[in-house]
Amino acid sequence: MANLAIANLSKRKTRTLVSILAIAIEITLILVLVGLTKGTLNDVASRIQNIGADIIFLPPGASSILSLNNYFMHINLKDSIITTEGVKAVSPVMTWMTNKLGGIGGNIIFGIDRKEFNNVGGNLELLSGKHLQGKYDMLVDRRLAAANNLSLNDQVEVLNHRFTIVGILKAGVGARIYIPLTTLQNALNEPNRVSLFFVKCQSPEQVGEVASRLEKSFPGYQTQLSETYAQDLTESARGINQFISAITIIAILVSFLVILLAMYTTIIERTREIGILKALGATKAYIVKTIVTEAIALSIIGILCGYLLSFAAQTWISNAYPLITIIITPFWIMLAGTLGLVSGFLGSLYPSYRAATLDPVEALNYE
Amino acid sequence: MNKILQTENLGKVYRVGKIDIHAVRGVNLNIEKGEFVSIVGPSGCGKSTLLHLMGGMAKPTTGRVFIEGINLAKINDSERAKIRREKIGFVFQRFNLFSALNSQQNLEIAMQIGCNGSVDHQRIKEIMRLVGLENKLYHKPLELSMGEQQRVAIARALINNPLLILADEPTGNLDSANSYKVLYLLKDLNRNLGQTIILITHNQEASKIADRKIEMKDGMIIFPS
Ligand SMILES: Nc1ncnc2c1ncn2[C@@H]1O[C@H](COP(=O)(O)OP(=O)(O)OP(=O)(O)O)[C@@H](O)[C@H]1O
Ligand SMILES: [Mg+2]
Repeated sequence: MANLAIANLSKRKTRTLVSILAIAIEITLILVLVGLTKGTLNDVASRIQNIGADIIFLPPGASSILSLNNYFMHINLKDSIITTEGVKAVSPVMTWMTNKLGGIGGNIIFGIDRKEFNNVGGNLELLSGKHLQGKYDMLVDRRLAAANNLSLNDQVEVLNHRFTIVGILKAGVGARIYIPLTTLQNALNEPNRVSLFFVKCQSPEQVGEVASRLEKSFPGYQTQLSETYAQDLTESARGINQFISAITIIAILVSFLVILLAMYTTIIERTREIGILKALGATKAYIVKTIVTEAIALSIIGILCGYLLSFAAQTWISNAYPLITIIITPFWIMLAGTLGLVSGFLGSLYPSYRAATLDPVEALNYE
Repeated sequence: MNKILQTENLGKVYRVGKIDIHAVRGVNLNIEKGEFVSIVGPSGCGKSTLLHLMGGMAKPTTGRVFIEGINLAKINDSERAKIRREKIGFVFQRFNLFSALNSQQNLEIAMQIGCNGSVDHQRIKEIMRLVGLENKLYHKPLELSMGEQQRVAIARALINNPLLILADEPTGNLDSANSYKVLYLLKDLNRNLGQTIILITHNQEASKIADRKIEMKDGMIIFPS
């Protein structure tokens, strides 16, 4: 079956390729950006949840995005927390961001007391080496070690000290870097302060009660339930979500304009062909359909190329930056594709309307 | 007598700036079924304008056009489009084939438009045989000679079995050998199939192929007076 729209795609190769590329980039932009955000949030959330504590106890003003915090509280609070009804164990943790060793914006370091961290559930599984013992011992997880080509007994300089990697951890629990609590406190000149307490309750049913008890006893301090951490993190990352929406809207707008321009120049160039269609007695609907079909075909090819490009980008990024996780979900694949199609359709409406309402004789005599 | 096209005091005025150009004035015509009529006249005398008016491509400023008794001025754009796809086959000086499509596909498009989307490849083959190009079905316009392109265009005009073929300078871009081929093809269509044809040309010689000759000048018919 002859199809003018499809035939014209291959006839006007440069325009077709440029339009397809623009749409593909738009799709890739959305998928990679969303995938990056989702991947990072997911990764952070699952690592915190995998620690196994029930509650994270935070100082006033702190954010549940732990890496953003610069708030400390006195370590003495531990004694009052542990005596709160329903609390089984407490582990004080000092957190610190280092911009070393890769990752988006750096890596978070946990300063922990190994025994106490273990008591709240923080089961650090060693793949090789041993646990923290000496002052300048350091544990890193397998992913960070792989990304930086680190192995046991290698030395890493952070916080103006030379640390020795004594153990490689299974990835996915808490931070990627662990050092002794006191070492981190001293390095930061805050020997009596900590960033947060992980709290383990005596039974899972009590978690809610314990949290409200803690909030009552320590006005202004915050409790974050481990169970809802992922959700709360996503919500507190509102700014990021708005940023994603803005980028998505811009991307959609760009592909709308690309199609609009591509189809508009196309109908100008093909004015005479439209005149011929009119002489043949084509209805307005037929002409609109021809133009819209061409735009939709362009969009579909662009979207499919965009999917390929996105997966290529995903593979490339996770090879080049092993600490970065990109999650491309079926939902976003569908959404990005649908938005691409809709913008392509809308972009072709005005040109197709213009084409359909051309004067037959003028169109036919167009040079 | 079987009148298929009539014009009554047909006129078309173009306004360019402050000047009115009377491209067609007071044309009264009667075309009967099976006629082969030529309209001849010098460049700029209004032949193409008249053809567009008769084919429902343009609206007259004055007067009326009837096709099988239907007043084209009384119907809307989409009804005029329907008249074009069902009753008229246009042939143009510049062939006006779709350059991205081969001969068969060019005819398919015309068939899609004229027959509510249905395409009959057998008929396409027959019509291509009729114009002597049954072996050029898969050639694109640029792979055909000019004369062949015009014969494909004639095939396209014929494909929906039109009441009337309106040909505007169909030999204007052709050398004399190809011109004769096209003119005799039209003649055959008229003779053998009874196809009604109006041929527009500025070439007196070419106009002789028709059975009836109408001469135009300055937008008016000067012969027969
Ligand atoms: N769209 C237009 N606007 C203004 N004037 C026009 C327009 N179309 C045609 N004319 C004028 O109308 C007159 C008749 O034009 P038309 O094209 O009908 O002549 P023609 O007999 O077909 O000439 P040719 O043999 O060169 O094709 C000419 O003077 C032309 O300049
Ligand atoms: Mg003309």
